[in-house]
Amino acid sequence: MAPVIELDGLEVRFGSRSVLKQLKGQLHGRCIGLLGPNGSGKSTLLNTLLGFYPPARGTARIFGKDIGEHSRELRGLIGYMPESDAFISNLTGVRFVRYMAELSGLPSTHALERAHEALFYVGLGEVRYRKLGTYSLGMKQLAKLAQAIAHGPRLVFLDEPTNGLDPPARNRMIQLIREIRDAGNMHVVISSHLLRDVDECCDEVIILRDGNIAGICNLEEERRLNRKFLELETHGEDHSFADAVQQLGCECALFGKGRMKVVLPETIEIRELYQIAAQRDVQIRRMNYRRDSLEDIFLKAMQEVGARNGSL
Amino acid sequence: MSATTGDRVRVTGNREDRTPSIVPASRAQQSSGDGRDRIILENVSKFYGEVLGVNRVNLSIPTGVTGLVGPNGSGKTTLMNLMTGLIHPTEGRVSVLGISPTRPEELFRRVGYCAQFDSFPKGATGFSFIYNTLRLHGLDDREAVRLTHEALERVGMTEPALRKVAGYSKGMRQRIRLAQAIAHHPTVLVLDEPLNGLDPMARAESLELFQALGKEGLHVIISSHILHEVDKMSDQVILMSSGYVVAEGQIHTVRTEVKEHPMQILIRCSDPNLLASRVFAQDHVVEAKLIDDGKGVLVRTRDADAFYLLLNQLVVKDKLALETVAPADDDVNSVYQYLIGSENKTI
Amino acid sequence: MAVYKRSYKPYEGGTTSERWRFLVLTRYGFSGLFDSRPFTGAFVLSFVPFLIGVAMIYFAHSATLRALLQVRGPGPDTGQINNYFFLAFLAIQSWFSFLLITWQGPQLIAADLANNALPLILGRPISRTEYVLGKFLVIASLVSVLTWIPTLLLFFLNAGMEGNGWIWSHFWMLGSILLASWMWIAIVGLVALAASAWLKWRVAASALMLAFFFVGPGFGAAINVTLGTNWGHMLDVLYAVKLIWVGLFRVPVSTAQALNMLGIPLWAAWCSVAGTCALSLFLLNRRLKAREVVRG
Repeated sequence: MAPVIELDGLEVRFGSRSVLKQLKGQLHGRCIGLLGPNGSGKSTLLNTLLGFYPPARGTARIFGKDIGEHSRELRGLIGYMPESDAFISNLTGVRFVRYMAELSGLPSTHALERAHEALFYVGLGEVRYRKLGTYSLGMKQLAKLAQAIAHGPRLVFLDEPTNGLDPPARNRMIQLIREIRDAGNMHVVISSHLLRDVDECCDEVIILRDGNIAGICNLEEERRLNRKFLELETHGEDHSFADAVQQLGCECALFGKGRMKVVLPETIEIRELYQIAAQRDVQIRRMNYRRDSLEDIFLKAMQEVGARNGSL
Repeated sequence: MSATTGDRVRVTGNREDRTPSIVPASRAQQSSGDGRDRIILENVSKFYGEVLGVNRVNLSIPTGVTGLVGPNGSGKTTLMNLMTGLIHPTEGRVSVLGISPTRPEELFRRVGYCAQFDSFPKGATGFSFIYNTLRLHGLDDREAVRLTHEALERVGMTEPALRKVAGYSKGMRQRIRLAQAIAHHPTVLVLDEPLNGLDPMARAESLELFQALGKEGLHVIISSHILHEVDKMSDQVILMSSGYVVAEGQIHTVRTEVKEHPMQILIRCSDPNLLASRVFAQDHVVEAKLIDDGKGVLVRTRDADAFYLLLNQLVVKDKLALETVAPADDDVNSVYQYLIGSENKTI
Repeated sequence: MAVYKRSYKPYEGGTTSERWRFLVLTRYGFSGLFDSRPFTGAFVLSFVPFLIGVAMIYFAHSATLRALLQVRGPGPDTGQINNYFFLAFLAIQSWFSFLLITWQGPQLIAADLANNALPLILGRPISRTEYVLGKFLVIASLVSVLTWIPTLLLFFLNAGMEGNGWIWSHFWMLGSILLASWMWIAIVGLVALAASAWLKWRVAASALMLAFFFVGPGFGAAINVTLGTNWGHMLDVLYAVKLIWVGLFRVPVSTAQALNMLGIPLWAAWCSVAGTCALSLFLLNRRLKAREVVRG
């Protein structure tokens, strides 16, 4: 399967400082997460792929097309939802999305149709005739999403899409992203600090650190493996429960408020844990197999590339 | 024990763990004299002309970490401004650790506020920003320098401190603002979305920092939209919607109080039918639904405690093989959905 | 019966021609312009001189009218349609256009910059040059409609009324009209765009434009007085423009000198004009970036 994004020795410099250091790798996923601490070059990579910064050395390819040579063509295939505010305040929602769609190459009438569709799809149907300057924060985020997808791009870059959204709006945004990923043939790249959002949407992540790739990880595969760990939340005398579990021969780590992680060796069954719980009148309020969550993968990637830098 | 007032839920004492709970203001005053260790809002309303900020708020906030949750426009910022004395209530009385906000010189010494706004004086460096604030507090040069270094270290910004703030990333600016809020060792710390823009490691570190501060005896009030983080770090939560306090207290107890919605628990197991038949025999179980893929049951019960103890028995005696047990709605997220979510359809 | 579920559908239509796509910017640039009633009113008013010009041409060619109003015969100041006439008309129109562009020109780019919409635009298949060109065309069209188009119309009207030979002996004026107008369009357009790129708030950008055109001369005059030269006039781009126009329209040297229109040599005036355009382009280049990098 052809890679969606291919990095081929990509190097980007600001003045004398090398921000992206010869990145090499391939990304195939339907929905790709772009992760990394502040200062790792995450935004720079995003901006370079969008064509805003020229590579100092090496190159990258999107859908097989070089970002230097085919920059203009690629920009027609890409949608971009920036992190910060981006709108034109005295245009109405429809006008704005239509304008952006036309700039991406759609003929005027089609652009109008798609603008309405996109705005309804993201949930701004009722407010699409109002000026963007009057929109609330959540609405502006959705308007940004609408303009990113209206022209039917093959690849959409979402930079912190849930920024500033309250919980219902966040859920809505995540749901939309998942739908967009599943419908049509659109690939999505999400850059975010909220690992949970990325976990819910993405099937592959690339982790940057200090301008290098700290890891490329296929989350689908990770989720299938690793069923030996158990995550428990108890209610009652959690300490005595944990002691008893440890006496059984399992490793057990407590995290306060009744939360604990238990490693079950092959010989021991869950029923035995419940026996202990029954004896001590402890409730097991939550129990699930733990797979290496994105948080663990991320932390591991940070630690492998030498000692942690602390600041930045 | 609980008291319900109209559509609002309040929870009162009697808990197993040691953290004090939020109690109605009147009762707090009876129990701890003049409320010197709490932030008290008594029948507070704030209007901006006709626009409602908050209406008839009664709170008594103890030490520890308090999560403040609610949609945009629900009055969280107003509440925080009232607590820090930046605005005065239209009605009612605010008392922070016994100090009234009408005495700002005293109050601001004990309060640290990290607002959402991301502006800095032009040309400021990280160091100068914190240092100057400390000098404004009346500290001499030596003390100010020492405390600045301390604050910078606590947020992990010692290295870039001498660079201009304009060149910082979003997360770095967030940390500097946090440092400024804690530098003068306040007793009350009010933080508006302090994790905004921070990368995962910084988030984890900040959460630890807040919890540590809570244990040290500070009143840490944090407003956030990321509910699983609020869940993790808070000792108690305040839920707001449209200017009203909708619920307050510890999440588990708040959840049990929301009686219209029996607890939902998802259980994946080898023999869902057996499980379903067994739980139906119980009085407190209202509904047992076989979930879509046929490999589990979604149980709704009025008495979660009894249910879990029953589950223990089922696993042991009937040899039920469990794969997953998950309360489907025992976290801030679900409580939010129940109490607030349905009201706000628009974005 | 069928139930249609609304979901995301990919786009499967054609796309517009890439070469002319920047005209989308022009089209949208116009759309907000005439929403303002005062602006539309002022725009309409600026056609009044054209109507007066037409009337004057008729007047000059109608002996009966002249006899009726008992006006003296043809002379350099009254009634004759010559190079002064066209120069004066163009000058008046250029003032109108200046007013209109200072008023509404800055909003063209300032609106995009005020809320950071530029990365959205530059992330599409549009280059920075095309962006500026698209916006410039809005100003160019407006000013054209006010300057060389009506002037040429008057020219041809007069030619028609004069009859034989007039147009051939005055053919040089066509070039002058066009050159003078386009030079003016370039200056006003580029300065307006540069001001609006530099200051995001459009009212401030308008003020900046005015400052450029009027404060500069203040400095120029100060330099002239203190240093006893005439080179200060180079800072006054309006002066330079007038000077060049006077030359283009072949006003005799004596008259020009009498009006103090020869303070600096012609090449210096052209330098002043070119310098203004270059400065504006430089500012535009600096300001119109999709991403700013702030160095520590």
